[in-house]
Amino acid sequence: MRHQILDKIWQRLNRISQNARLPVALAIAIVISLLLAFVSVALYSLGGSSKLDLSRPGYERERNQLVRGDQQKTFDTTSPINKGAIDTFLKSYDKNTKDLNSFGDFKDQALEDSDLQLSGQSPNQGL
Amino acid sequence: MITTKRNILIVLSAFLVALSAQGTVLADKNINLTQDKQNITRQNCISSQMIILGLQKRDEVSRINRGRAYDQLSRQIVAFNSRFVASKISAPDLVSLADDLQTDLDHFRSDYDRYYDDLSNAIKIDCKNKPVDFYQLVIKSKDDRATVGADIVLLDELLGKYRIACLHYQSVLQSDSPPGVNP
Repeated sequence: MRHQILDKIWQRLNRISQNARLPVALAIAIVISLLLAFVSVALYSLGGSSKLDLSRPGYERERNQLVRGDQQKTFDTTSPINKGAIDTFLKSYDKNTKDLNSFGDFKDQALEDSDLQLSGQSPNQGL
Repeated sequence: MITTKRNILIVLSAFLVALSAQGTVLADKNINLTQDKQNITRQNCISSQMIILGLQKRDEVSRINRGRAYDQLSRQIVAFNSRFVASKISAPDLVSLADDLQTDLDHFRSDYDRYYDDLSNAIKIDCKNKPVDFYQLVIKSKDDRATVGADIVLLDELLGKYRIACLHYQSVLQSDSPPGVNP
């Protein structure tokens, strides 16, 4: 009984696909692309990329504040170590660490009640 | 059979006790807002959410810029450590500092993710009807922001220690009989 039903469904699907191959192929392509789009959006959201994506609308001003560093820069891994090599390394190292000072350090009290207008006073009151 | 039933009951009771204890801890973390404070929060929270959104955007820039700079420094350090290995100079302290740096960098990333989620929740919540929940999210965001700040302090300390260690090796290599240097 069960086999007969499955056979009937299979035969009907075969008939449909033979009569309308292009629409069936299109439908399959659409389903696959929807599935892939769903997986991509899930990966984008769950993987944390969305938290660091400034290409979204409304982030135009923030995009301009990004420092375009030399991300693809490669470093020498084989040259021998001597006093001069350490000197050269430290010059570059100091420059890179100095750059860090120009970025926000999450230490300011930005979420105080007064800053969020939750203290019952305006932020500038009492200055 | 009776023993099995008794064991199941004991396990269930323990589970319930643990759950109630957890509830107590969570309840202790709840913040009691006075009626006045709730009213102020309800009244001003839409503006607060706008301010929080601005802060979230600002911090996102800091996170990306810092993350890139730390990544570059980390790659630079790993490459420099490889040169010590290639020169057959034993430098376990440099390797250890590089490992610590990588660990703290991972903490920095995960702590920032948690802080970002807190802010997102605070922005999304229906603060007019749930002022206490909103305020709790603000407090949690504040704590998690402080954690990210502490990660940065630690990272900067490790970078400083790495520099000092490099200076030590520089002085060792200058001397005639370098201790700790394996020919």
